[in-house]
Amino acid sequence: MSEENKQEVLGRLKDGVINYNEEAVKEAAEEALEAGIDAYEAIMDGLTAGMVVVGDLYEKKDYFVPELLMCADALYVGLNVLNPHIKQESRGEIKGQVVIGTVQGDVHDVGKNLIKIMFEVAGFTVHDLGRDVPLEKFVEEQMKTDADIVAISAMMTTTMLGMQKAVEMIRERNPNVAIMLGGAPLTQEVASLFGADGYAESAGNAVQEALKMLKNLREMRKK
Amino acid sequence: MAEFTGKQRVRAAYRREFADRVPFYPILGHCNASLAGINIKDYLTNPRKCVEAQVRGYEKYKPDIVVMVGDLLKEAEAMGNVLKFPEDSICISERVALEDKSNLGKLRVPNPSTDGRLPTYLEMCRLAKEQLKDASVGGNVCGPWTIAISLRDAESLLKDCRRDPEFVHALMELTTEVSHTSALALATTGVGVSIGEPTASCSLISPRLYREFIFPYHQRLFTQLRDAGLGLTIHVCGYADPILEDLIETGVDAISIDFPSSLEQMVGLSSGKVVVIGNVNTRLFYTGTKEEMEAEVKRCIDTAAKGSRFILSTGCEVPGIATEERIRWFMEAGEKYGAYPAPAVA
Repeated sequence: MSEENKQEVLGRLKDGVINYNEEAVKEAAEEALEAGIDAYEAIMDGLTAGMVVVGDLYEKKDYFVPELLMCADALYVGLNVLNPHIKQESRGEIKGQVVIGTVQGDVHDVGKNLIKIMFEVAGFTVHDLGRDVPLEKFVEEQMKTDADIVAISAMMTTTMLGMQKAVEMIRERNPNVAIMLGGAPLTQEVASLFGADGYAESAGNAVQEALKMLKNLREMRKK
Repeated sequence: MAEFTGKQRVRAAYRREFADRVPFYPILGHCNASLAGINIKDYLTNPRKCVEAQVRGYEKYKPDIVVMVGDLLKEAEAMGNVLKFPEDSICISERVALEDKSNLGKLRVPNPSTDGRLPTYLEMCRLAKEQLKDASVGGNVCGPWTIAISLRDAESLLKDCRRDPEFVHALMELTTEVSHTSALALATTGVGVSIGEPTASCSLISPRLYREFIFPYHQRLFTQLRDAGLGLTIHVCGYADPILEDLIETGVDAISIDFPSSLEQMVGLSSGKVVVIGNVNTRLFYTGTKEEMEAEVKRCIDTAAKGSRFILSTGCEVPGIATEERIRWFMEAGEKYGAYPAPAVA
């Protein structure tokens, strides 16, 4: 396959995600495999590249949550085709592991699900606990998976208070874990007050924040 | 000079007139429950306790308007959602009526006098209206989109809009009728009717989706209710700038916007067509300083009060974790900056 053809297929993967066209993504993903394009490359330079553009469109308010959800659906259609064909050596180093969930008493999970997608796109392994998650479940799951990051979401001020307790509980069992908080009622100030290491202001910056925390965490562990 | 009552100040704002100052109120529900030592579960389920909380709040802060803040699930509950009521937090759905879309055919418009907590809420509003003579008292009915979300779950409904638009329209037909029936019942208690449509916000939906799946139902609902003689307010949470013009077009009388939306844009687009309500940042009630609260109140008044048709309020409900001191700062700033003639806008 010529480089030109390869770029054309990758472009269709990317555009398919941006235009939330599941059919087009499926077709392009299958074509990529048939043409011998490396699956990992197709994911990174096709699907993920598309999702990065989607993130920008959202930040610019050209796209809104419904579009993000549809783009994510198209992304997963592609991942389902390509994932089984990733060669072990091209997987590279796994960025990190994240335990994520919406806090106890809160069932608003649209934001949490968007953040989860962004983490997956960025190459993290995500353990999703769902919504209305009892505080001790965050502690247990972190211990079980040895995840680097625990990300907790709340949509309401009443349930937000549970986060502070969760942060304490996680720290008590394992001080070497980075904790990130997010959701409508949160601010940087509140997140710091609750003892978190990071604050996710939007789906867009959650991953940036996570990478920053991860770097700090690894430097701290080296010492 | 005779002291104006809250009711008179609000009436003046609706008539494009000026009383002694801008009418103002913080949206207080859970804060009043805490003030009266009542837990959230009792506040949401027991009319006597709910009204006791609201009367305590009124006596303490003397706002011009008292809104009977409840939860957003009472209509969905009356239609089949199963709720759980934690003692100290707002109720949530444990099971939604439309987890399976095919159940839509089985759902009926609930009877406000008999089903779920709908009669409980009407009783709360009736009692509050009796006891709060000088304030304007307002009650809430959920809008059609918010009821639809509660019945189906947000993410599922957003996906239905793409995959099964006919289902969404059928559901909106039903929930519009639910809002209509509930609003008429609420009006009989004598309180002002506000349509709570917090989820029709561009923090969750897109403008395109609003125009296709929500606007036609809002327009119909507001037309029907206006024909029945009701004055109506709509409240939208979060960021709503891309749909402010559409909201005005629905024919609603007053629009209450949250702090992420632009009050300046709202006032500009409305140019007196609707009464504008908003939009003090509610985060200041748990993180703000006195100076920040004053600056925020002043911003709202400077932006919107000049031509009357404005009520100063919080962008959304004041969070239960707010401090009494900060609520007082809000009230003091309203007194300080709200006097007519409104401060000149540079």
